[in-house]
Amino acid sequence: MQPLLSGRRARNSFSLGNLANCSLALRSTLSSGCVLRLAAFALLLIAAALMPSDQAEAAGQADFMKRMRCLACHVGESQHRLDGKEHISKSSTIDMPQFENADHGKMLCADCHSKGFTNFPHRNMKTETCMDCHPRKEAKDAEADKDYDFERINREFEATVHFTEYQHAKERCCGTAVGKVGAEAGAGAAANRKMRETGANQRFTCEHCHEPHYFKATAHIKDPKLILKNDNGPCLHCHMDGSSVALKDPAKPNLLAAHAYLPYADMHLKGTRCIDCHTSVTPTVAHDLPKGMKADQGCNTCHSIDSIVVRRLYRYVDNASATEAGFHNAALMKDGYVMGANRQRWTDIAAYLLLSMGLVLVVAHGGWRVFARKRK
Amino acid sequence: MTPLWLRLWHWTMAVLFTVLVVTGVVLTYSTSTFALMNYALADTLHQVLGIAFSALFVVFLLASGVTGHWRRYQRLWKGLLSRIVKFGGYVLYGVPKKGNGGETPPRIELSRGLLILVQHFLSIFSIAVLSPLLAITGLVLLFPEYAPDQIAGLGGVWPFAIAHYWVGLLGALFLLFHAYIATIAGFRRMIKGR
Repeated sequence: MQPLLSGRRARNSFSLGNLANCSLALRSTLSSGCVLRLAAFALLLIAAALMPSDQAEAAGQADFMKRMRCLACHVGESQHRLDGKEHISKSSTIDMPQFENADHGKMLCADCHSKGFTNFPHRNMKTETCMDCHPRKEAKDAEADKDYDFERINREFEATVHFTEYQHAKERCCGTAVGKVGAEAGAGAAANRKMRETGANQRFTCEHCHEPHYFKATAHIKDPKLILKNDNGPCLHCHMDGSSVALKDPAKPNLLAAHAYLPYADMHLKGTRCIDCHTSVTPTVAHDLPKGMKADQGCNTCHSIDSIVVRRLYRYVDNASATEAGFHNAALMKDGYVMGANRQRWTDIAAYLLLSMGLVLVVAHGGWRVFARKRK
Repeated sequence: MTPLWLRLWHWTMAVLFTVLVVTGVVLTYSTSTFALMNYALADTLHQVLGIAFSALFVVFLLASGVTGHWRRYQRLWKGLLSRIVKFGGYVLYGVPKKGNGGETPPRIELSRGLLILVQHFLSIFSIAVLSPLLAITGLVLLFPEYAPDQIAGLGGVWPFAIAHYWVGLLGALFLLFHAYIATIAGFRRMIKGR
């Protein structure tokens, strides 16, 4: 399939979020309904017409208007509720500030929601998948995608338990928006039953973890603490304590119990990403998920002077492996102390010298004793 | 006569400390692709044996107090400084002759005196300095959650880790010299008691 993103990126020079929030305010003031939504949309058209209009901005405005056709209904608090008895919902709205800050934040809705969404009610819809666009073909984008090797990622992913063993609906596990569980109760279940049934046959997909509206690649986050939060979020969304989904192991009722074999399990869980252990160590981004204890990469993978933590979680910190005040991998020490990785250079040198001198003394004295005994 | 409890304690501590040194080396000097032994096993051994080492040290203090064994260290301590000064003088200025026109003490006697001095110094140093410091710094590393969050802008565990490393290093040197000197002085007393 041809990439849909090329040439379609919005170039908005004004804050879409602000106007989207205007939409939200209007909608909260007025009762919901098609006529009122259209009225709100008309107001937004007028607001957009008042914007500056040189050529670039005019193009931005055109994209903006395309977006606003969708956002008039699909922004802010979820308006799309399912059967409250089932305690599941499908969020059909997005958080604009968070979306604009994400990697796909400049894209048009129709770039992915490519068919059947133009008119309301939507019919025969089609939404592109991640692999429909990635890896991207344009030279600049292809360069950015090079590190990821999407073909390999797809192969690895299709061998994971996520893909092979959990043929379930998005709603059953994570809600549509990972990290954003939808409203718990509401009407309209019948209208959405068919959609849910279709969903029940869906397999686990990229978007279960990489929620496309809010996904941000670690390369764009850089700060290890934020990366930690960002990358653990999707895992914990389903695997957190008290999770009611089938993923929970009854024998190990919480994360701490499941990781009890680790020394200082709570510190490991707080200070590292799930994927740092639960994916293989490769030069590029790995997407395999070895099961159970096979996920254990070996303690010294991290607890060593050439710790992979530096090459993974701290990958985007400048000179993370640099030695400061004699400490190797000093960047790690700003957040804690990693035994084996934060060795002290001067202490190491002193240890080598002292032990060498000690051994030399012992060997020399022992040699002299043997020599003296033979002379007798 | 060296009492049985002391001999048992001594050999238990010797085995514990040897394993602690080896596992300490594994924990500190492994690379991402090589470890002298299984890292997780080394960590578990280091923790369990470290606790045993600390507990036995406390047992030693209590038993020494109860049996009066502590007086031996008192005696060693009293003569220690003067003997260090004496042997230091031999090294710096040579060995003086006994009386007018007398002979220097036999070399073997001097060597033995020096080795006994070193052995006594190491005994006191290991009991009074190394063991308590190892136990205290090890205890902080065993419960890192109670260490300060930050010290000098870095994760708060590092001063204790460095101190533990240094004391462990000096302990390894102690083990080396102590064991070597024992090959001269003989192991009999620590095995048979006399």
